[in-house]
Amino acid sequence: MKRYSILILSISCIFIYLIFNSSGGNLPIEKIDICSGLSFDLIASTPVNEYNVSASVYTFPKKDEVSSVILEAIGKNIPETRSTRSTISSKEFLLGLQKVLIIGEAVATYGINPIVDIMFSNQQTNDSTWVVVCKDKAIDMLKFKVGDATSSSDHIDGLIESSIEQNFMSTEYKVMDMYVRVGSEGRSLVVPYLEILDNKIILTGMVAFKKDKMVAKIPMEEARYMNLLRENKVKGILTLQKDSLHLISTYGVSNRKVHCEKINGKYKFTIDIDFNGTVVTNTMYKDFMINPYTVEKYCHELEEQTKERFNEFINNMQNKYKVDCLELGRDAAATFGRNPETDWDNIVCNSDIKVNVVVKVNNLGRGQFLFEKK
Amino acid sequence: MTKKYRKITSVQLFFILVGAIIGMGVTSLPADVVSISKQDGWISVLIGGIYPLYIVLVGGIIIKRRPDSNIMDLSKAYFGKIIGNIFNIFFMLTFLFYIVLVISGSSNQLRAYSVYFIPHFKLVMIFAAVSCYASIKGLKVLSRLTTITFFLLCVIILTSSVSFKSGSILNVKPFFGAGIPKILEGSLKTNFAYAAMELLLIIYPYVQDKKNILKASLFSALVVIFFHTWIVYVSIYFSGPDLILKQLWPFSFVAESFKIPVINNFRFMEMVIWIAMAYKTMSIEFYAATKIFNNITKIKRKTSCFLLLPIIYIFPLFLENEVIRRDFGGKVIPWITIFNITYITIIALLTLLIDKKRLRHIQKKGENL
Repeated sequence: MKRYSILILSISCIFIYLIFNSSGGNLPIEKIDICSGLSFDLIASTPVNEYNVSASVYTFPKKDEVSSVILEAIGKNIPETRSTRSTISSKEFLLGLQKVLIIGEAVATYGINPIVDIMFSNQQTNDSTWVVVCKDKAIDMLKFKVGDATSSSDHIDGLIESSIEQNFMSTEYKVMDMYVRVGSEGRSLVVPYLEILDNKIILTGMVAFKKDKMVAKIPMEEARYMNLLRENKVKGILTLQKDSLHLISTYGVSNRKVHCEKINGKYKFTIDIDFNGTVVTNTMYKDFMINPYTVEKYCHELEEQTKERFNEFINNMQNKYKVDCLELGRDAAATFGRNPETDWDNIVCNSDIKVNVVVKVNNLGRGQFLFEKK
Repeated sequence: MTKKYRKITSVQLFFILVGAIIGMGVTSLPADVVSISKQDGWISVLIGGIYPLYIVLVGGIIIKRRPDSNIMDLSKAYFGKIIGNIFNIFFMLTFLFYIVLVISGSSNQLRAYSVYFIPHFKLVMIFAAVSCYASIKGLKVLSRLTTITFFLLCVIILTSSVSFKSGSILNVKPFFGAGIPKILEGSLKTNFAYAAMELLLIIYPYVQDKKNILKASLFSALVVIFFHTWIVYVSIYFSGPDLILKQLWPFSFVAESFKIPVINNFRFMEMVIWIAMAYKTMSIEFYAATKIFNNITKIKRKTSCFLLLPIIYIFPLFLENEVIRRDFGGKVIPWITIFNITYITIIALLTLLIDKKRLRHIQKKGENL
């Protein structure tokens, strides 16, 4: 019996090897095009628009040296660009380690559904890739050389990842968040907007999407307040300034809560923002360290100013951008029931939005340099 | 000695029952349910749990009255050899049908997520061979296999709770917003996920401690209901009711939500675990099918494994496309569920009635003497 079992085991081993040895084996890294970033551009032409989907791939010219090249591909649709790309590349293309998708402004306004769908159905893609929209042509940004970074996509990866420390940016600008937001009821996609200015890649604002189409560009000064209204637990600085010598800045974390009411068929939203933080600089009040009433007065002043800015933004959103970039429709759908046919953008833009801000200072840092005892 | 060696404990019965029901198919359960009952899909799953509970409770009557014979013997005793065997053949076909669906489904999912370079027929070949081999080894080995895989399943369930950080309660609200009729309609879609509880009625004579059979099986049904509800709830919580509909296997999407420093993506870790889960489900269901076949034809179970092997190899090959598989399964499974429920209910009723008659019969005999 034992002799038989050894025979059967060895025969089955050979059998399994023969059946499953169909793949070509492992390839060395020098023979693979490892994609680090993708750019999407639209070339307007008749009769169909053409896509330019380019990939930035790593190359390994010498030992311990990494650089990158761009594989440009133009086709009538996105899958066709894959075929075109393989005609210019000498290596196997590997998708899955890409760090960023750069979407050109033209594609974003035309609609990103083709991109979302092709990324979604592909099992090899990496869902934690950043999505950004860039001004003009995306391929220029992908080709752009930044200092010592291997490729511009590595640089953008770091840029977006570290942006959470300021400007109330959240981390939810990934491909996965794109899947969740585009096409879900009451939700809207907001991603960073990049520009090349003075030979640098700069995050100049945010763009808001309505379903899959980009509808608004929001400059950073305004986008800060949008982020604060939209995201929960984000960090940034709020400043109260009289002139360039008299100002107080507070760096802190926000906390957002939304209440939704329906009165006579009209929706009414209340957004509560709690902002807790540390005073970064104070050149306005001299008695900040000993007088709690001054701190309270400052908090109150900051609350009023922030509320004003919020109302400015909401006014802009309702009349200029005409899109629900605060995802208020999501809360309303969760309270009053879901119905895929509801146009939440329209409802939110015509509804009454009230903002309550509470600012709390819980730390003054090491001390106040301009402190004067009366 | 040998007879005692073959028997399993009631704890092992619990593991076997959980293992028979929860397989790789649960990853697609949220999509089936949410398509009808929207964000309340998890309530549908909770209600759908009535099916295994009913089987256990009705089975409890049979187990109490007839602790040493199984359902095949009973149906032969009540309906006569020919009609009883016809019922048994149908009962066997349900299990074979489950295996065919499970094998093709597992292969489809694995090819979609990790091993897209292996063709369908090769994966089916492995699955068929492994399930045949494991079921030849008998109930004792299967019980050990299911014990290990139960803890692997717990790993998946525990890690999925990490996604609570990245999801939102707003995705699940409003509770009961889809309406009670839709929720009840959605619960009918869970039949396939809850299938294979009938296995209890085949293997209960092989349990050592008869007193605890009902307790163990009831507990296993509750654990299965909890796991299924959890899986659907987490999926909805994470991706929202709108995104779930767009995916073929929504629960696998939850695994993408967290990164482990060394392993870039948890997806492949999870796939490895799901393969073990798939093997175990197939092996147990194949064991059940061969057990019934053995009972009908009196051919040795080992031989019957090889006789039924072509069925579980050839039929999955036709279900290479996931869309066709779901369409086919959706058409046939309601009938199977109706058959199973009626078959088991009738046997249980007959067990209640015929016992009394026999008692009378015996009493009459006593009077005669």
